[in-house]
Amino acid sequence: MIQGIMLQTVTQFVTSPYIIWFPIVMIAALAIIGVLAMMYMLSTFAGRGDLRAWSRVKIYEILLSVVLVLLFFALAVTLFGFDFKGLFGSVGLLPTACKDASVATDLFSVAMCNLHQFNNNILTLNFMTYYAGLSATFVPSLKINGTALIEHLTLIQGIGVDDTLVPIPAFVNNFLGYLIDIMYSAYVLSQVQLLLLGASLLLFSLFMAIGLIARIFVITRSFGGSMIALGAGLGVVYPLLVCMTYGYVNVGMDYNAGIFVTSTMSLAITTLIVSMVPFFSGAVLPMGVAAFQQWLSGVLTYFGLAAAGLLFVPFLNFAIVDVFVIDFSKAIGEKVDFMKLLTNVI
Amino acid sequence: MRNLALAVLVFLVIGASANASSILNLPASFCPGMFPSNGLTNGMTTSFSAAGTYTGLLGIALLIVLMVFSALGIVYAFGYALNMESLKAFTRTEVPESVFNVILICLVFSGVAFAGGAIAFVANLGLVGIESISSGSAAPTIAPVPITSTRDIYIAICSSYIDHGVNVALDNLLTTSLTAFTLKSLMTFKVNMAPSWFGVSFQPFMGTMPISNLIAMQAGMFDAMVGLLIGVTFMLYLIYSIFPLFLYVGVLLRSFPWTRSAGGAFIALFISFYIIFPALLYPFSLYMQNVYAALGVSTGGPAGFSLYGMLAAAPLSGMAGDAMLAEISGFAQTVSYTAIQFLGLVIAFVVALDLMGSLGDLLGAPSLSSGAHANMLLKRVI
Repeated sequence: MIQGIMLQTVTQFVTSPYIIWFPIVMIAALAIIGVLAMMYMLSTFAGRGDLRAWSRVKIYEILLSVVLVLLFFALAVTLFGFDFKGLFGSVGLLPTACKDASVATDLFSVAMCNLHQFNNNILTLNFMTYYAGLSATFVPSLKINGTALIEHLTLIQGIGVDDTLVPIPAFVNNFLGYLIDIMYSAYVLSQVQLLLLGASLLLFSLFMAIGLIARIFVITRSFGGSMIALGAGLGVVYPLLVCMTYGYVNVGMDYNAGIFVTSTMSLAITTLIVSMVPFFSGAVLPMGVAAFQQWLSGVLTYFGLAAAGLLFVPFLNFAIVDVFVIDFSKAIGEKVDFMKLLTNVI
Repeated sequence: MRNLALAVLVFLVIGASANASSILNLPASFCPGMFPSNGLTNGMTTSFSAAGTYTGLLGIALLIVLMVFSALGIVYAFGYALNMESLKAFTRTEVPESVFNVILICLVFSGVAFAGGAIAFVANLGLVGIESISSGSAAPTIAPVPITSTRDIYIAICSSYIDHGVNVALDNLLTTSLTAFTLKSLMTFKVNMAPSWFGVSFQPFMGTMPISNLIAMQAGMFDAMVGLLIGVTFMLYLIYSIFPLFLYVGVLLRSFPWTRSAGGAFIALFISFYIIFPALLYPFSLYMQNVYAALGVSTGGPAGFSLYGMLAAAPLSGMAGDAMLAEISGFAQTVSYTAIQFLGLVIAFVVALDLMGSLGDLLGAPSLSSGAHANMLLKRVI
């Protein structure tokens, strides 16, 4: 039974952390206030004015910490209770996949859905790139065997001219190969983000609980402040940034995928390949100019957003979270620079 | 069999007369769709950050300061009513900070207005300079865009990149593909002089292989150019869409003592990347297209490189003469074209990052100071 309660407590700690750590913090605060009140009384009996003044100041500080706890409690309730799905959906920053009823409305679920959707988009794009390369290799080379023709007509062997027309230049496939390499390499960083984001709820619960409890005690106050900054940075600022940045990227990708990932996709790829082949260009153009330009625009936009989401956005998010954590931790505790290690690795 | 072979040949020659370059361009609506004033256009939205006009940003930023003033007023009222000197002292300390915020916002937006004029001035200087080094008679065909809103400058840079960079590169990629096709076909041309399979056979155009390699390298350069310009355009889109939020958050966070330094960091990021970064890129993008306009550089078309062009004109001398020189010249232009943009990008980043560090120091944000890891991280990324 005890084991069951413990397990339930641990699960609740992760899913609804404020329900667990709020009572713990409040009990700790009340206990310390009780101790300080006793010291205050003893100092009165002992005639120690300095101890009495110190106890009074410390009680005020504990009360201030309790106010801080209440503020963070309100923040936690907001994070879990607020409809972020509705908020981002109302301003057009929610991708179609995240509008599904199965996706919860809290910040963490919306952020996870966004990043997961982006990773899915990248996998689709890789497949599309591979498909385009594969399609290109199916365009046949035209071999003109003049020697065999002369032999067939005149029965004279070994005299004539041969030529081979290779319609798809080798650099097309080389380029597609590089593209796939780059995308898969950068995709690793995206997966790292997904893991970090998956842990953000736990980090928020853990660091915030440690921070708020530690901030109550005098000797661990600065350490507690640092933990609060870390918890707020990784648990609140980071998911918020993911929702915003990948919201912009995903919605744009959704829209442009609708342009080119349709039944006309293979037709469009054929058009592109065919337009690069001089002896077919103009003669066979399955799509109109406007439709082709719109398709090309969709493809390049999709690739551009993928590049931004893979290369620019992760570093931007990390840098912003780092900036927030450094400055906030310095203001309420010890300066923490969690990106120092990562910076050195990079 | 003979009829079939003849039919294929006729088909080849007729089809080669077509010019597909006109369709291989991005539509004119691409950039306005990329930086919408508000709402969803081409899947792009800025409604969350209200980006688009300086007036919109100014209004929201001042509204936040007004809210903070109201909150401080309530705190002071409590302090007065409960006779708590500490609360009153806190309010007295914080009011000047909010006043400083208002001054900061005014300075930011005055700076933006000034930057608009300065950008146009610099761009015109660039245009005059290019005219003087060319024949002097070339009229500027591309005038600087008057900057009246945030959107103008972003669209102007995007248009330079797309109309004079990506579309040109796509046209050239088509030309390059056609040239590669022609060269490859010539290289595999083989003459057999071996009756009863005893004698010689030779490939007279195999010597064009160096040019073929150059063509492949040039195609890679075109790919890089498209990638670079599209990448920067989408980076600008994210800056345009997201960074205004940093101003609002920055102003809000600067209003409280605990989060003042973090707020300063956000404001420094906004000023450096939302205002200064595109302002530095803009003259470069304009200078690039002016080079092309004033010097009258022609990128040519694919018709001259098509099989039809080769057959109709001088197929053999063509590859050794003008077409080859045009190809080499085009390669050099492509490299310089990309290099100038890359240079502009690097300069804009370096200046924006250094400014960010200085502003971080000024606004009390240690995370952005020169040598801080967040600053180093951004520098290393770039």
